[in-house]
Amino acid sequence: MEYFLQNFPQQLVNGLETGSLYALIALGYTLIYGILEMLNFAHGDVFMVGGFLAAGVTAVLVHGGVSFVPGVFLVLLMMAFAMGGTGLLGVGIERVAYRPLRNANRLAPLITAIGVSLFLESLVQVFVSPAPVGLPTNAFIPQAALRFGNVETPLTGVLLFVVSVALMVGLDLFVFRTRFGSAMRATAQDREAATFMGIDVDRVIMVTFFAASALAGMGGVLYGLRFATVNFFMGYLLGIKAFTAAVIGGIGNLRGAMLGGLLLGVLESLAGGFISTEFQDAFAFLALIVVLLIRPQGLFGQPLGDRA
Amino acid sequence: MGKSSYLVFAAIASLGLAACGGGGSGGGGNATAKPDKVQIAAEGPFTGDQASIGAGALKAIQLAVKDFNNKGGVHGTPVSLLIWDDQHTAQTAQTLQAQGISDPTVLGIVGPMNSGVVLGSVQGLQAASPPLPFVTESASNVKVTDSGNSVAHRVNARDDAQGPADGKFLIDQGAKKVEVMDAKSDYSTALADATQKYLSDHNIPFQRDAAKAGQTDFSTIIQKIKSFGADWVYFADEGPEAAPFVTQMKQAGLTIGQNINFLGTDGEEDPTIISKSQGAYDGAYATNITADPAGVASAAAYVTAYKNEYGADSVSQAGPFYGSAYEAAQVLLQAINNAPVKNGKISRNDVISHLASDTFNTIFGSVKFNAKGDVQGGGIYVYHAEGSNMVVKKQVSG
Amino acid sequence: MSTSPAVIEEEPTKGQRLWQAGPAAWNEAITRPAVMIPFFALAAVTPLALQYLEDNSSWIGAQFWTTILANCAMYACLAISLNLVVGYAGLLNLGFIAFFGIGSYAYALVASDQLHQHYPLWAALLVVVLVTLAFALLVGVPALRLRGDYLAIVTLGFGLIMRDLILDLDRPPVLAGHQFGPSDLNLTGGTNGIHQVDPLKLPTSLPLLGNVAHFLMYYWIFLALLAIFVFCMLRWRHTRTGRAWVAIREDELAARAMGVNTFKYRLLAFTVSAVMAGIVGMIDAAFIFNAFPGNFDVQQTVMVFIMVILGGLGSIPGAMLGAIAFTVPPFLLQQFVFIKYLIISLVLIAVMVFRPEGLLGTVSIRPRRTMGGTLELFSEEAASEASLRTGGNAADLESTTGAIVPESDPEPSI
Repeated sequence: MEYFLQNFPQQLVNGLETGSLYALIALGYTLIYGILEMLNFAHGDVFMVGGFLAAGVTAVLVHGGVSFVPGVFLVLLMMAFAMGGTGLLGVGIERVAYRPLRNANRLAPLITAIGVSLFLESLVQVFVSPAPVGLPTNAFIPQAALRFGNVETPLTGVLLFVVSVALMVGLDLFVFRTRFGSAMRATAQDREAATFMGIDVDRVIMVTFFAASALAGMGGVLYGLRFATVNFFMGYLLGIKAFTAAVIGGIGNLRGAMLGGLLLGVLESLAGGFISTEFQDAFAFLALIVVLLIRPQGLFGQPLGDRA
Repeated sequence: MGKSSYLVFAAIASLGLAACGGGGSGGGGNATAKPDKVQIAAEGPFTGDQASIGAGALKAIQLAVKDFNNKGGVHGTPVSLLIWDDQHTAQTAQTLQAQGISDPTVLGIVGPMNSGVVLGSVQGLQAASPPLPFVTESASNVKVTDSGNSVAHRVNARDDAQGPADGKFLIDQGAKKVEVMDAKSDYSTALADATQKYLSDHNIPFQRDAAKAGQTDFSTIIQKIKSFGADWVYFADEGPEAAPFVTQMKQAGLTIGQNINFLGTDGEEDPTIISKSQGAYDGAYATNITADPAGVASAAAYVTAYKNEYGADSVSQAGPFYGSAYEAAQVLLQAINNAPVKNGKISRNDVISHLASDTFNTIFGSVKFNAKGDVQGGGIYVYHAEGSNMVVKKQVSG
Repeated sequence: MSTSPAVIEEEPTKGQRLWQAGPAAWNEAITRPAVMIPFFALAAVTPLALQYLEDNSSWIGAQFWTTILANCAMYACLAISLNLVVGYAGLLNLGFIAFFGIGSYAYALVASDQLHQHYPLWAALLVVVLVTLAFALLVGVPALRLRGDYLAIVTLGFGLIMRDLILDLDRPPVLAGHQFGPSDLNLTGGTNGIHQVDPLKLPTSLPLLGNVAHFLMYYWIFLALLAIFVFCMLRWRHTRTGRAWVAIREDELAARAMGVNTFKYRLLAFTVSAVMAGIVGMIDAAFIFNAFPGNFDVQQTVMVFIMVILGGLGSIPGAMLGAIAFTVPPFLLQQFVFIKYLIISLVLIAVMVFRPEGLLGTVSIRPRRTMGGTLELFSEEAASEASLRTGGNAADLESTTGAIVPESDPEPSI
């Protein structure tokens, strides 16, 4: 019990950090699902590409000897570059692999998504690196840990949490408070009717993919900053977990995805910290299965469109 | 082994080679006999989640074959290389091996790299007629060579050599409480078990945790380490997880060399971990079942050649086994070269008997297999991270 | 090749008519006994022809290609099992490959030195069937109350848990500092798997042929199993059960209204498919002499899914074609090691974009809004509205071909 009390706050903070990353990726799954009702299997790999874009920016600026770049500026540049790059990548993927299948059966885009995922992984493995690539974050980010009582976390961990939450709130406002957001919700609810209302559905879908992919790209940057390393395989398991988080929260529901992500992160951290690191994932998934069996529609199961 | 003994070995080996050549021409056989076709295979996880160890090894083997062919191949016949990407599954491995088993011009395999894959396919290789020999560069499980198969050879050290050596090293360094970790892979789990057993036999308290392949978030485990109060962290791994792990240790206030010590294993002797971890790795130790070519004088030319072939930063992506993969290929190719050519053919049986009897001249010095197929006197190398380099501290014999 | 509706002046030949009739007719044509029996006969003698070729030419590769064919047959068996649960019953089972793994490990445990048990064939088969059945019920009974993607995530979670268990149960689990079980407990062999598994206790020689090589024998075993699976699936189509599955997939509410016990039929599809996969896993363990954790990754589930959907959901010949189309290329492209998956993924995307219903597919798992089936997101109210909008399509089910005729009038594009 004493052990538990001593370690609980730190493990909770660890879980919230991991969870905010899951949540950020889960938002993308849920956005795309909400609008198109398709599982974007390649989403985890878009996240991976975001991490590599961030690594590329640092490689060019830091290794290239540009030492006068202030840290804040570099981080902002990384974020802008990675979000823009992955956003465009997302739009491109939608255009090439999903749009031709918009009226096909539901599992066909699932397979093209798997194809895209395989393609991106192979591409990075072959043309960038099969081994993990490091980011020299100490060159531009203070390394000191922040301490609150006996809980501590590095600055990049706080950054991960704060930026994720800010983006989630921003997305929520965008979807529920803006005119374009209501077009998105209308499209989610009934694509055909939205067309009749004069909504340019293609544009809505494009913007959705851009936003979801840019969030994933930002996730990649934050991941790279926090863990100072990226690898071509990092999108795979993280993608599965983020998807799980999205379903737990009630897929199609933005706030559900956020809470689902945080919940999964915390569950994992607690299972690893107090039960066993070997069975960490098993216990986290077991807990989720139990949650689903008790509440079959997900914790906040109400799709995007129903909340108009 | 010292440098002088290496020179002696090399001299003996070259004498032996010369004698073989002389014997060939002196006997009734046709000394200039040229085999019609010689193939070997490279097997390992070259793509997929284990590509970080496989891709570099394959490039090393390709380079070894190229170098060998540039020197004339097998009596003038260039060796062609089959690429078997087993993706770390026994199923795919066996299908690919079927290609070699039925084709008598496939004379041997460099690999398979994962112990589990070796154990899952060795039966078929042994049962082939003639049996298909392999020289693995990384499979360390004791059963690989303990099962009495004539086809099995490895140039790396065994778990039961490395585990106790690592445990002894920890105790010699004064470890009081050890965090033992593995990465849930063929190599790391068995090794961590062996080390853990040594520690528990010597009454050193330990805590066991498992990372996952590709894991980068170690905050949960680090909190457990702090709570446990370990003074040493032992992380059996193939390298990819080390940099983020030690970076986060430092961020969490565990500084290697100050309030904690770190012992890694193969792949964790990679000096790029020091830069990838932004210096957090400075002061860490790592033990290896294969030598890192970058730290061995006789392999310097090979490292240069590898960089010339694949680019300046290729070594940092090559994984832990790019040296032993080249070594294993050299061994297999020399055994094939030493085997007699009869009617334009080389028999796999002869390759196996030459693997058993000959001494091979490799980038790491001379290599000779014992009756099981393990390298005689195969060493465990201890590296220490000093500044931006990994320095070989000593070689513990296996 | 042309399927253009240009006026045909000459009377088309039988072949042309068949080509123009579309995938449903192709399926019907292919699944006739007059095609299937010669197909299996031809498949069975192919390795002998390869052997003859090897003996009489400089070509070498009979064993290699027969082993690849054995893999194709095995994946075809798996694809047909998955097709039952996804294509027939519309249940998105993402933990499918776990049952294949459970079958493999169950057999390995009773037919190797791991637990020092060497059961006879029938007893081992019984164990495999009972163990996979037990797991299928354990997951299926609670999970099948869920719908669509929730079912998918529960089964995916189950697959991941099984993989963790397979990797970690080479030692007693230590949970929160307590060790469960004796220290020498080693159930699964951990990362290395279980080795030296017995081959199936069957005669190794056949009349006329004498001793049969291991790989050839297992090719024939897989082929025989495939023939049995195909036969059962085609027969099942015409039964009350088969029609119930299709009705559930097409419109669950309508099916329920017609008095179909949907839970019962979904559970039946789920468990039968799981047991089929378990049996395939058992034979595979005997074929490769081991049960190996890498064979049961989530990626393997993805692979079998690709086979089923690439071949065409709901189509039996499609599942077989998909298995071949996705098993062979990695072996053909092995010398292009690093770029082979670049090539394969691009081809995969292209094929799906140009033939979204799969190569031989006929089933329309229709876009969400018009679906009352299990792959759904919205509330039941929304589903019932949707089925009202489209009108019941369950009525005109085509049940003679082993596949469903697509909707004649696709949704207007937006």
